[in-house]
This record gives sequence, structure tokens and C-alpha cells, in this order.
Amino acid sequence: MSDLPLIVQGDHTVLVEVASPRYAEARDALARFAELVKMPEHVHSYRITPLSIWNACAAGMAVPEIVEVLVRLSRFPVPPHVLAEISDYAARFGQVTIERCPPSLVPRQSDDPRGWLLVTIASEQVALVLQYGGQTGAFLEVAVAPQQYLIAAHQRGPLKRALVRAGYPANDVAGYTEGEPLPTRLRTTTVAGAPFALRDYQQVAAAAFHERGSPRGGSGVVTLPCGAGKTVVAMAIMAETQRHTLILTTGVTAARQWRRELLDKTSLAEHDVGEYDGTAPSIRPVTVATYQMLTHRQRADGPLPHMQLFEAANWGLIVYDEVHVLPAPVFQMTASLQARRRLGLTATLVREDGCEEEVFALIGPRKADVPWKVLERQGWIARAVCTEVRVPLPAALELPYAIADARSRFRIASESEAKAAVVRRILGEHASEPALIIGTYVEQLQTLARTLDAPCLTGSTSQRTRDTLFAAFREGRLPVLVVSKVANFAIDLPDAALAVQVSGTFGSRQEEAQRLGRILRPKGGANQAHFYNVVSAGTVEEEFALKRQLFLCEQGYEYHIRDAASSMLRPHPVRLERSS
Amino acid sequence: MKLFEENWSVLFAVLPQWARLTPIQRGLAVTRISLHGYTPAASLHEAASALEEAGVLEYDREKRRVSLRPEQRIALKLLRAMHRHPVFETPTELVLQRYIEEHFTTEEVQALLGSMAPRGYAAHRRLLLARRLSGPSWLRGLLHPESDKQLVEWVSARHGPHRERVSLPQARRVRALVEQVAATDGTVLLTHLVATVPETDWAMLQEDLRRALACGVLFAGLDRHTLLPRVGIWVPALDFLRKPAAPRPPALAVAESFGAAITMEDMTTVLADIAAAPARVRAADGALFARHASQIGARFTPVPAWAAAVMLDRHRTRADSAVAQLLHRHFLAGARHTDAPAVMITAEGRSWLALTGAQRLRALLAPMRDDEQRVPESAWHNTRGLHFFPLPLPWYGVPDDLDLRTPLQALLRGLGHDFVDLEGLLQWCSETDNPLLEHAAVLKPALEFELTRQGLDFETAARGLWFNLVKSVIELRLLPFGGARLGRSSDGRLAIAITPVGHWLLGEDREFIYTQDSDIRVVVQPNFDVVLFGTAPVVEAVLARVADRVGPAPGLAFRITRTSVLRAVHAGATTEQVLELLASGATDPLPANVVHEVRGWAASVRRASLVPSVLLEVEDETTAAVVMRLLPSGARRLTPTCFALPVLSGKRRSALLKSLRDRGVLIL
Repeated sequence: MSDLPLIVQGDHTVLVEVASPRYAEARDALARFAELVKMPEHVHSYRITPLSIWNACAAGMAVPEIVEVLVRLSRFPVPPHVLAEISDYAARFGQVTIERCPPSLVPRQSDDPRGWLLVTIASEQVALVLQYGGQTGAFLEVAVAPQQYLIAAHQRGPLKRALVRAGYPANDVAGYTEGEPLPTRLRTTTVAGAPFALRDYQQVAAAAFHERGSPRGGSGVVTLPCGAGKTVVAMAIMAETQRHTLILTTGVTAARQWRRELLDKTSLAEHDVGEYDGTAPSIRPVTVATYQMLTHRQRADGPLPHMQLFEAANWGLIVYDEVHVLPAPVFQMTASLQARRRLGLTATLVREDGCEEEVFALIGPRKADVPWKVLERQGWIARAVCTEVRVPLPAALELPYAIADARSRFRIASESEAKAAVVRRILGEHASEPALIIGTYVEQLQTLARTLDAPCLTGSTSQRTRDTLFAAFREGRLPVLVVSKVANFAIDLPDAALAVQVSGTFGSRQEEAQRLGRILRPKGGANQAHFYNVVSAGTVEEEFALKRQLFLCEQGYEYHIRDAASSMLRPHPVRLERSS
Repeated sequence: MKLFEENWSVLFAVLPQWARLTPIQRGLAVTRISLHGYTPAASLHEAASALEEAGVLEYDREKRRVSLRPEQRIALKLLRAMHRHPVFETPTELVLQRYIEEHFTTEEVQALLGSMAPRGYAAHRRLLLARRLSGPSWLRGLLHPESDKQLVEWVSARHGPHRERVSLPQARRVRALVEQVAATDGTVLLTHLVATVPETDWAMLQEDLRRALACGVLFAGLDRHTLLPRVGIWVPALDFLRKPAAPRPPALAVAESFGAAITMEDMTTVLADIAAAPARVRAADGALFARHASQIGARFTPVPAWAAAVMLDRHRTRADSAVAQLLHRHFLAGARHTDAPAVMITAEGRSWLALTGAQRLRALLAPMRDDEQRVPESAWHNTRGLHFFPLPLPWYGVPDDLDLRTPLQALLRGLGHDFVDLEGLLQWCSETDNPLLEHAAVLKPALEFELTRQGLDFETAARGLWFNLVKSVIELRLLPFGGARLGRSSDGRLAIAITPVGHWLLGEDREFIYTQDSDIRVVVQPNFDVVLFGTAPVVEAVLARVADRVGPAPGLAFRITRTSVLRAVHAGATTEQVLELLASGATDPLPANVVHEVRGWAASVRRASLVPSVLLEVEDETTAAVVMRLLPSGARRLTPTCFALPVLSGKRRSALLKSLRDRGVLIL
């Protein structure tokens, strides 16, 4: 049998056989122009989309190179229409160029050339399509030459968004506002005294983003698995740009974590880094704000006063942490900030709302993406084993469950009291490992916390208490911490090696990935983490768990299923078991 | 007019005058000068004076009009007749038919065709004659007679409707004239021909030429460039004389090749699909619905575009061709599914599907290999499917004891395993290695009526028939079943190489190995996806019973879902059978989580039966005790006062009601 690893399907899916001796070659080649969709054990799936091709084109990859990879590594003939469509997608990239407006073309009534940008459309046919079709026509009203138009600088973002929607992504080389300078360098030893240096992939990601300060660089998304050090990449980029920076993140805890990391690993001083609290004095050369703060308003239809933060200083770089959850108002604001350098950070570009194109248009193309398997093999993230433990529904809950409506059934099954005993058993089997008990329903978590004699951290817990608890957990004084959804994002608990999920938000894939991400920070010793998902057997919770199971399997994690009655819940041996 | 009844000597005499003219002048003369009256001199432009100088025409007194000199009238008439039919420039059947129409009467045509020719429309007879004149036998009868007597008979038989008897010297002179013309390029300028004989012999030349024209062995026309008269042999007939016999084609290096047994593969794919559920067909023509055919078509082994013209039926989709084959072999049968016309798999089909690739192929080929047919059936037989020869003979009368199969098998087996040029092979075997020509002595009289009826001479017919027979066996028996690989050379020539499968079909005893689906790798992933590294219809058929199809193979073809497992269980499979089916399809062991979930899904099935019954309810237990003794078998007591009775027919129901009434139990 041929050892070529690829199967290119007519629906633009590319399958890669992991067992092939040329797997690594195929993986590295595909990563440049295809989106990794699933990576279960034997065969990984990639998908070639217009966006993935545009990302590749933005990174300088040419169509013949893409075709060559597919043809060279494909086990069966590549469907000709796939190759034709790749060419078609690629041909659309670069049809429209946005660049600075030469002074000679600036309209007479305006004396500020920076207020105008020149849009050039390569083909006459495309120019007609864009001028007379859809949403792009409204921007292309001031023609200065055939296929050349002037747009106001503030239309840069909206036009780029409209162009992506029309299928003609812009090649934006108009450059950036430099921003206020801020000398920043990375330390070689952290404040805490540990040696510190960028890892190879972090250096590559930072360089790919910055592109030596050229207009081609300076905006884009870096995709790294949870625990791989996205914050460090952002710091490296800050050290490259040396400008005032606005960092947007998902919550206060994460914001403080950013601040702590910046002070620990860069030359920035305390007074350089501020945590935005809605007041002017909290705006510092490096300001960390939360999405909630930016989108806060008095009334549902009221203005968003904190959006002024974007214009409150001459930022040279804006960092969007967890860019896959960027809220819509921030998207809107970002559309008007195209003259600022923008860095998106995420573990997965999959958005539940399907707004990947918005990210591409407004933040920028993907600049770096390192498969987590590679990092796991290199020991930069922990190896995780997932186990689903099925607990029978107690007899007392069977009738209430049977007569309840669908939504209530899920809650009854999720909050089953029988889970407490299983959680205790799991903790007993992993007695030496710092553990997080994660759930959705606060009452259930509080009951569990009482049972386990562990503190419970929920949305109503004060920030001070949260900080105290996280600190205690990090320092090893607290072996078990019960947390609600507040811990889903951007919390650095490096020593957590065990997570037990007792309830989830139905089948949310993103939540599952984020919760698992809490325990992926590299550990000492075997560098092994365990993720348990406790579900009520024979209930709708099991059906939703199946969706999560599929997602985790597709992400390449080992997944085991155990019945609560099993003598041992911990998977043994750790390798994925096979039926004989 | 008839060329062979005119006085050619007159033309011979004036030829030098015509030779002095330019082609334009000749052209104007042929097309514009009136034969019997005056012609305006202006219509001939400057050519008028040249024609006058050459002695072709003369002016009137005013020099405004010209008229043909009397001695030129017959010459111009002949030239104009030659000009009407471009027999040498456009040697098509249609041109020849028009030539015949002008120069031969119906009786003469009939005489040339012979007594066995059908008597029908004159136009049809002209067509038959045109075909006859275009064949190789016509000239051979003159040039290579077996005896002088035969030569005389040949010329006499064709010389007019009354079959004027010619002498041997006359016949020889005709033959010599044709040989003289054949020795040149097949046509000769009349001036050159005339120059070879002294003027005193012109009458003899004229006689020979008229006989040759009347026998249809020479034709007369104008040279396209010079507009001078030519006589010559009909070009297609000359080709037969001139063309050397096709050599045996040597081995050919091919740049690409294709050799899948696509008929068998297509049949398997279609049958595997229909094995999962009956397929609805169109009531009008019994074909699969387009969407279904297209879904199945996506799973077929792709055939390269360059091979498709030879390997695929242009008139039907591959899915429909496969369905037809399956129905013919009784692997599928017509049925009604959800009250609509459908096809469903038969027991024979299931047995065939369960075989390995080689066994399935052998099962298809064996009836053809073991068939005792030595010569194709005649036209009225339907030989589709199971005979060795895929097509019937185009005519009747072939002797039953003729053996065409042995030489055909020997021919193809003799090719070994090398690629040979397909067109060259067919030409060679039709012209050189042709058993029909070898059996001419037997076949010719047997087929005379049939061939004459169709206007074919034996040699042409024999060549065409053998060409088509070999071609049909290659295209319909060998290539679709993997018996030959089709190749293409770098310059675009098609070639074939007989495979071990082909040698087996052609009678060799050596067993073949069919490896098309032996190395298929099937992976069941922990996320319930099933990936196929190749196409294997049998494996797909197995998987289709327990998994949902999500795409064509190779690639992600199936996904195991709760619904698909429940479907398999509903069809009667147990949990372990479901797992067994999955494991039998997969190359690697099943992931543990998949096994766990499949077990759970299969175990979650609750079975119930829907039984039509009649509920009988009585007032109290005392009545129930009375009633119970009267109830028919199959009745069940549901509660102390309630019974479930089977649905009773009219008579039994009436009997029950009567017996109850007799006991005082009245049904309200």
C-alpha cells in the first residue's frame, strides 16, 4: 500500500493518516493552507476553505505550492475541481489593495493625506462586481482613476469586512499609526528568580507577526494551545514594537494574571502597567481591560462609555486575548481601529457564532499555529487523559427525571447527588494531585464543596477572595478548589493536574476545551493531567456528554468511559485501550 | 449522356488544341460555351480570342458572339460531363452514386450488381453498386482472374444489360489498360494515354476505354488544377490495390494505463448500496432516479477521460448499466418498495456480494468462459450477458460449424502480456490474420445472398466483420472485466495488454489473482468516523448495515451513530453482531469508547409488538368466567373483566356472537 498520507476529498476535506511515515511532512505542509478540523487518533481532518487559502496567500504562499503539496502527498488523484477552486480562491486574494493615499490624489477640500486611503482593484471585472454589487459599492464612490478609489481612513475596517463578505479580501498595506514609544524588553530571569527565555515556537510566532515592522506584519492572530504561552508571545511582540499597548481580556482574574506576568517577565515597572477600572488614571502605557468593562453600559440601549478607551491613548498595539470570544461591540470598535497594530490570541479559531471571517477581516490573518501534539511531544504542555464516568441516577430521582421537561431533565441529571461519591473516589485515586472541581450549577458546587471540605469559587465570590484562593492553590496550600464557569477562561493555575467536571453547559465544545485547558500547563514528573467528566448514566446528560466526547476525541485526546461501579476509575494503563 | 457511348476519338483528336489553353480558359470554355448556339463573347472575357486561336470556337461577323466549332461539340460534351462529377477530387460514395446515376441506366446497374441483387429502389441499387465498386473484389476480378475464361466472363457479364460477349483479346486489352493506369498514380491524363498509342490505334483505345468505363473499373474526370481530362481507377478501390497488408503491431510503450474491472466494480458498488435498502426506480424505464444514481456514481472507480470513450457505455449511466447487468444475472429483482417500483437484492446477489473480489470476478467470467459458443449468434438472438461473443453477427447464413472462437482466442492469447497498438492490432487481424478470409471458399457462397443484398463484397465484409468481432470482445469482454489493461502512449495512441484475467477468460487454465481491493485499509476512529483508504464495495456493503454513509470512498465514508446502530438492531442484529460487523470491516481494532457506546446504544433497545386485537369487556367476573370458555384460541385475559381477542373473520365473528348470545351475553 502507498505510504502517501493524504486523501483529498471532493468536499475540500483533506484526511491525513497519522501512521504514515510522511505524516509530519504532510502536517507541516497542510498547516500553511488548511484548517485543522479534527485530530482523532488515526486520521486527522483538515479543511481547505477560502479563509484558509487567503491566510496562506497572506503568508506569501502561492497556488502552485499548494497544488504541489496536495498532488505530491495524495494517495489518490486529487479531485480536479478542488484544485480549480483553490486557484479561484487564491485569485481573489490581492485583487483589492488598500494603501496610503499619495498626496497628489488627496481631494482639494481635504489637507490631511492621512485621512484618505487608496483602494486599487486589479481587475476591471472585479471592480465592476464590487462597485455595483452588495455592500462594497457604498465605499467605492470616489473614483480617481479606472479601478482606483479613495476612501476615508475610518472606512478601512468596514470596507475590509465588506470585502471579505464579498469574497475579495483586501491586501492591506496602508500601514499603522506608530503609537507612543515605550521601551520594553524581556527579562532573562523573572522577578521571581526563575530563568526565562522564549521557546522556539514563541520566537517564530512573534517574528511572523511583526515581520520586521513591515506593513504586511502588525496584524493577525496567533493560535497556540492552552498552556503553550500565548501571553509570552504577546510580550515578545510588545518587546518588538516598543509601543504603548492595550490588552483586552476575558475577566478580572485574567487581567490580573496578565499584569502579574508582564511585571514578572518584562522590564516594565509597576507604574507602566495598569488595570483599567473605568477611570482615566488607570490608563497606563500598558493597560489591561476586560471585554465586560468595555461593553458595560447603564441601559441595554445606552451608549458604551468605556469604548473611549481605544482612543484614550495613542496605542501602538492592541492585544485581543481569547479572540474567539470577542464580543460584537468590540468587533464594531475594532473596525475603526485598523490603523493600530492588532494581535489576536486564541487556542482555537472556531467560533460558536461562525464569525471567523470577521476575525480575519478585522484582526488579521493567522500568523502562527502550532499543533498541540507537537508541543505535547516536546513537553511544553501536559499530556491529558479524559475519562467519562457514568453514574446511575439515584432511585429517588428516577420519577422526577421521567416526568420533567427536557431542560429540567438535564439539570436533574447534572445535579445528581450520586456524583459526590464518585468525585470523592476520583480525588482519592489522585490524592497527590492538585484538583479543580468544575461545574455549572452553583448550588451543586456549594454542596460538593461542603462535602469535600473545599472552598467554592463562583461568580459572586469577591475578587479579593478569588485572588486569595487562586494564590493558595498555586502555592499548594489548597489541594482542591471547586469552581464555577468563572474559571473557564484565562486562569493560570499551573499546578492543577486534575479536573473533575460535574456539570457542563449542555454540549458546548468551547467550554470543554477551555476547562480542559486549565490543566494543560506543563507539570513536573510524568507531565500528565487527568480530566474527568462525571455524568448520569442513561440520561440526556449522557447524550450531551457524547457531543463533548466526540469533540475531545476529535481534538486528539485519549478518551475512556468507565461505569461508576468499576473497581478503578483511573484509566490503567494510561494508553488508549483497544477492544481485542 | 453516357461516357462509354460517346465517340472518344473525336476528343482524342482535339486534345492538343485544348492542351494549349490555360486552365482559366479551359474552365470558361467548359462552363460557359453553349453547345448548340451562340455565346456572348464578353462572357468569356479575354479567353474568347485564345479559344478562337486554338480552334475551339469561332466569332460571328460582328465579333460579338462566338459559337463552338462542330468538331468540338462532342469533345466539349465529354469534358462537361467529366466536370460534373469530381470523381478523383472527392471520391465519396455520394459522388460515385451521382456518377452512376448519370452514366448507367437502371438495367445496367442491375447487370453490374448481378442477378442476386435485390430489386428495389433505383437509388438503393445505385448505393449498392457504389459500395461494390469501392470494394477490393471488383478490381481483383479483372486483374487477377483464375483463368482466361473467367476474365472473359467477368468483362462480358459487366458489359451492358445484354451481357455482350467479349473476346479474350478484348478482355485482355481492357485489363492491360487498367493495369497501365494502375501503374501510374491510379489516374492518368488522357493526353498522356493517347500519346502512348499511334493515331491508327485510337479506335481500339476508344473501344477499350469505353469497355473499362462501362465495367466500372475506370472513371473519367477533369483534373482539378489543369481542367484536363483524366481517366483513372476509383480511389477507394485503388487503396485496396495499393495498400500493403497491415504488419503485426509491435509492442508499444505506454505513458499511462488503466485496468480496473469497472463493470464488476460498478456492479458491486450498486449491489452493495441496494443491499442496504431497496432502491426505487423510475416506473417509465426502470432506471435509478438521477439523484440516487449520482450518489452511487460518486463511489465508482474513476475512469480516466482518455479511457472513458472505450470503456464506458455512452448511452447509459454507469449506475444504470450496472443495474441492467445485475438484473440480467438475477442479482437484483424488481419489487415494490413503499408502494413504488424498486429493485432489491436477491439471494444470489447476496451470495455473490459475499465473495472476494477474485471470486466475484470469476463468477461473472465463468459463464462466458465455459460457454460453448464458437460463432456468434445471428442477428435475431439477444446475446447480451453470458455468451462469449458479446454481439450477434450482422447477417444470416454463417454455417453453424464454423469456429471463430479458437482463432480469436489464439490471436489475443498470442499477444502475451505486452501492450500493443489497438488500432494496429485490429487492422492487422482484419487484413492478415482473418479466419473468415481463410474460409472464403465455404463462406462466400453461403453469404452471397446476404452480402449481395447489402451491397457488400465478401472481402470487405469479412474484413469488417472480423475487425468488429475482435473489437467487441476486447471492448465488451476483456476491458470491462479487467481482462485487458488499456494504455495510452505518449503520442496519444491507445494500446491494450492482456492480463492474467484475460488469459483465463480466453481459455488458459492458470488461475488469476485480482488485487483491486485486497489492500484496503479501514479505520474506525474514536470519534465514530470510519475512514476508507481505497474503494472496497464489499467492505462498504458491510459497513453500510451498521453505519451511516457520509461520503464516497476513499476518504471519510461512514459515521457510526446511535441511529445507525439502532437500525442494525432493528434489522435483527444483536449487539455482538453489530460489533462483529464493524470489526470485520475495520483493519485495526475498534476503539474502546466506540465499543462501549455501541454496546450501550444496542442495549437501550426496548422491543414491543403491535398486535391488532379486539377488546372484549364484561360487567363482572361471573360473566367473564362464562365468556372465557367460549373465546377462540389466541384470546388473552388482560384484567379480570377484560379480554383481548384476535381479529376474527366474518364467519368466526358471527359464530362467536351467536354462542355468546346463546349463553345470555349480549354484545351491545
